[in-house]
Formats: sequence, C-alpha cells, structure tokens
Amino acid sequence: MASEKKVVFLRSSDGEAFEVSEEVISAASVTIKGMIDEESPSRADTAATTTLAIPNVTAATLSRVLHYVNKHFDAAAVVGRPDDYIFCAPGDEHPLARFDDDFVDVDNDTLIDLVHAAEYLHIKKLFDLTCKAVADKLKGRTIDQIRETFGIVNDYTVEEEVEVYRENSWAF
Amino acid sequence: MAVKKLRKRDGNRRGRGRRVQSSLPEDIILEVLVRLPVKALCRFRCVSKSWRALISDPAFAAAQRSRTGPLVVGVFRSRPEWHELRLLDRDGCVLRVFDVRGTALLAPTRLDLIFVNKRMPQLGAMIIDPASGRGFTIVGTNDPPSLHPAWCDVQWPASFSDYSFGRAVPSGDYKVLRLNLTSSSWYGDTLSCKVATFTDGGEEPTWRPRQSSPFRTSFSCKHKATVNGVLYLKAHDTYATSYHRNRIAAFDLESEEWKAEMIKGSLGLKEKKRHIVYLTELKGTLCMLYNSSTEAFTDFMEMTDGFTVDRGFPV
Repeated sequence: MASEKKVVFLRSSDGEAFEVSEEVISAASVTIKGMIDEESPSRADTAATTTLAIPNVTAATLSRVLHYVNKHFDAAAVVGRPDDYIFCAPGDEHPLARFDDDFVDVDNDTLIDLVHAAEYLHIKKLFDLTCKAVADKLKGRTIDQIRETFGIVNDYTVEEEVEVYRENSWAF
Repeated sequence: MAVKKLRKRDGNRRGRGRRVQSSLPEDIILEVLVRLPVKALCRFRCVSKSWRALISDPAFAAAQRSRTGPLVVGVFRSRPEWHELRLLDRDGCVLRVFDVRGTALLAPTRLDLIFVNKRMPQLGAMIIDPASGRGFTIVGTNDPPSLHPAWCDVQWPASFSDYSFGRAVPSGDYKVLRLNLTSSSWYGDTLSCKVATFTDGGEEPTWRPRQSSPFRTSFSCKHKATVNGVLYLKAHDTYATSYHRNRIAAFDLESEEWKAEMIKGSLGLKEKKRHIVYLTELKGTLCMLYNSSTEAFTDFMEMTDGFTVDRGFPV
C-alpha cells in the first residue's frame, strides 16, 4: 500500500533509540510485532513515528540484535534460502553462515546478553543461534570446568564416579 | 526436578569472565544443553547425579534429538563374528559403538529405541536406547543346543526364536513379541507366542504366553512391520505364489491378541519373475514393496475396509 516504508523506533533500557523498518522487525520479533499490533489502531494513518520501549535490553545489545535482524529478515537483503542454510553441505555455504559465525564470535558476557535479548524479543532464529554458540563453548570443557562454571558440587561417591566414568568412557 | 541444581552460585566472588553461564536461568541452560551433541552430553553425565538424571531423561533426549536431527544406525561387520552397531549423526561421524556379537539384524522400527534381532536363540534380541546408551539384552530360550541335522556338525539349537518389537497404541508400552519354532513344530502350522513389556528399569521381562500364531510367520525383518500398534507379519512361505498362501497375520500389541481377520490377496506379481517382497510402514500405512532386478513397485494396504490390497505404484 504505502510507498514509504514505515519505521519504528526502539528505545533501549539506557535510553538510546534505534530506527528499524516496521516490516523487518515484525517479521523477526514476535514480541515487537505484538507491541506494534497493539499500537496500530491508535496511530491509524499518522505517518509512523512509533517509539517502543525495550526495557530489558541495553543499547549495545540492541544494536547488535538489530544488525542481525536487518541481515536476516530484510527481504531485500536476504538472498537464497533464508532458513535452511544450517543444513547446507560443506562448501555450499550460505552467505549468512559466515555472518552468523562472526556474529556470535564475541565474549561470553555479550553472548549471554544476546541470548537474553533473543528470548525476550522472541526472535527464534537468533535464540537458536546464540544458544548453539553457548553450547559450542561448553562442548570442549572438561567435567571439572563444567562443575566450576555452573557451581555444581560433585555428589558422586568414589565408587559411583568410577562407575559413571566407565559407563561413558567412550565419550572421553 | 533435576534442573534445579543446575543453577546458580554467587556470581560476585568470581571473575567477570566466569559469571556467564551461571547467570543463565534454568530454562536457558536446558536450551543450551539440548543443543549439545550426544558425545558431549554423555561426558557431562559425569558432572553430577542430577546432570546424569537430566541427560538420561527421555523427554530431554527427545528434545535433544529433535534439535540435532535424526541419527543413523547401522550394523557393521568389521571382521568375521564381530558385528558392531554404530550410531552416526548426519555428517557420518560415529557417535557410539555397541558390541552386538554374533549375527545381528537391525529391525526397522520407527521408534526412539533400536531393536536388534539376534536370531540365534541363545543370543536373543537387544534393545538399545541411543540417547542414554543403555543396552538391554533379551535372553532367548534356555533350551540346550543340540546337534540338529545329521550333516550339520555345528551346535544347532533345538528351537528358534524370533523377536519383533513395537509400541502398543494407545498405552505407548514397548512390547516384544517372541515367536518360537521348535523342532516338534517344524512342520506344524503355528508358532508358540509370548509377549513381554519392555520397561525402563531394565529388569528381565516376564514373558506372558499368548495364543499361538495363526500360521507360521516369516522370521525375516523384511516381512514385518508395525503400523499404529499392530504388528504385521507375513507368512514364512511368502514366495509361494498361490493366492491363499499369501497372508499377513496381525497382532495387536495393546490387547495382545491376534486379529481374526488376516490380510489375504494376490501378490500382484507377474508370473515367473523373482521378486523380493518387503513389508514396511510408510506414513501410517502398511505397504508391500516388490523389488526385482527390473522393476519395483508398492502396494498400499487400506486398513479401513476389510484389508484389501490397493493400487500398485511403480517406484
């Protein structure tokens, strides 16, 4: 209908506002789509300067999230198969696979912030990506490192521990 | 539940770099764990009792599997008398190896458990849970082996047992059907039949004697299929061409009874051609697949009206 693309502004927890295409963010985030749908009757035909407060996400994280969203959900920017690139054969790399790899190649705190933001904003693809990245970080850790990371007390008796190690010895 | 223990410790004491995962709420930790490959999860069973319980939980395993995609299972014979069952992921990486000595036939099941029919009575069958890695051997008959035919100098068992596996509907119980062929019933028409329910505890199942099979069924896993809680078995003389011999017996795993009606019908084969006949399940329908060197086609059995054989589809 309208030739002009509608935009919305997202205000982070620390007060910074980010502009994003309404169409793109609605496709990406279930949470924001819900907010926009609630707003829409009140702003009938006013030319689109809705500002939505995102109280749980900081500016640093939000800008990263929007960078991801613009790459993945802007129909004009996305080429090829948007959803199935994870299953591409090696060498048959989707253009966004490289972007995703770089996107999650960040320090642990940033990554965890992204997990939280993806969960809050309900962006499934980003949530999958970031959870997988956390899993990849855990994958190579030793049992002791895992215990330390999660603050878990080893509650096996010596005999039980020998037994459980023997049971799973193939995996070491 | 077990997840509770996954969490938390006081974050302040430790460096900022380590704060990380402990700041994750339980449900996100779960989301992370289901994205780990089987091998790492098996290692992490050693972390604590609660992690072990969580990772071995069937619901967790199902969620994990749906993330990582289907696994491929195959029996490989790496050297004579040594069969191993390998669990592979879709990239072809071997995730686990199970020792399945002797002959092992992988029964095609659409279940989350692997069923290995070992054919020889003293070996029985095996049920393997690929998620937890636990294997469970169903012991065969305890009959002593005997020297059977005069020309055969190997120890030949006095009876053969054949095992089939399926899931009852609606109870969802995993059940094993054991059909036994003894030398006395060798030329007879029926097989003695016992059923056991496979439980998670891993204890030896109690075999419940049931009505004998209506006729001698095939022991080949090609000739069995479970559709919607009913186990279908073709007659042992499947390759006989006469019309009435081409029968399929149906055993309801829920009521543990043989169905009165059996499927009969023409094999639909052109004469004088050697076809291999397979019985299989395809999207909830019983299918018969024929294969020869020159052609292959399927028949779909319509379960609704009187078990008639439907159309032939070239493949």
